[in-house]
Amino acid sequence: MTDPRSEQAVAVRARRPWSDALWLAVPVLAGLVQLIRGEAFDAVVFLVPALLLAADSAGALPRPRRSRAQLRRLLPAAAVGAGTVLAVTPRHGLADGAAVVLLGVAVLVAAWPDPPRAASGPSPLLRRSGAVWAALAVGTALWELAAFLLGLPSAAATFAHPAISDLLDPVADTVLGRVALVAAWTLAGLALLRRSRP
Amino acid sequence: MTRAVTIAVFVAFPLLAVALTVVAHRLPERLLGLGAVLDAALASRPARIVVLLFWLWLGWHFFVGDTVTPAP
Repeated sequence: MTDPRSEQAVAVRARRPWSDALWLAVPVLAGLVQLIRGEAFDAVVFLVPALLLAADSAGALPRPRRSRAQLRRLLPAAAVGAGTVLAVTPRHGLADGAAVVLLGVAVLVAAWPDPPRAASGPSPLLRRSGAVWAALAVGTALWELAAFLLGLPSAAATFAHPAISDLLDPVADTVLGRVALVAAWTLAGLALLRRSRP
Repeated sequence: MTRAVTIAVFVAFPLLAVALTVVAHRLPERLLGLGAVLDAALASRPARIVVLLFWLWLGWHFFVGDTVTPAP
């Protein structure tokens, strides 16, 4: 009997244009939400990579010739450095901005090369499981968006409908809270990159 | 009351994720865990870049940007 956990190892390496298009729609929508929020930089964070992905899908970008193995090896040390800066320098400062952007861009560059994929599609188990987990993620995002929109009219409305940002902001303002959030963020980035190892 | 409901739903999502993880562990033939689904999804470049973009944005949002929108 096939171990269902091993099915995904070979099941989703095929190119799936519709799936790729759906993924591409996500940063476009997120960028539009950021524009509604009036956060231009946040919109750029989503829309510029969306443009790059669209150009790549159209074959307009050159394929990376080298793997990014060396960059990947440097990233844990870079994450420790960025995490230290984020933990000890004033929140919302220039140093924090540089740390997040440098580490974030390095992680994205390391994750860009695409390994060759087999021709098979996702198994029914993987498809079903993906739908369940995606529903949970989309539900969280929609609840966050609803809370944000309902809280827009006034301070009282914000209090009645706090977004995750409103709830976590006071935590991030404490030393212990910030250290915990920084650790969670840097470790999550490295874990995601590790899981996407070619 | 409304605030409590809003927060309760936010708390319910991670609890649901824990419940799904338990189900995936006990019934692997019915449901794959988040890690297995992520491994599969991250094999695709668009998915990989989009997931990491959200990670990057979360860092920017909480540590650099104005997390809380000032009330008008």
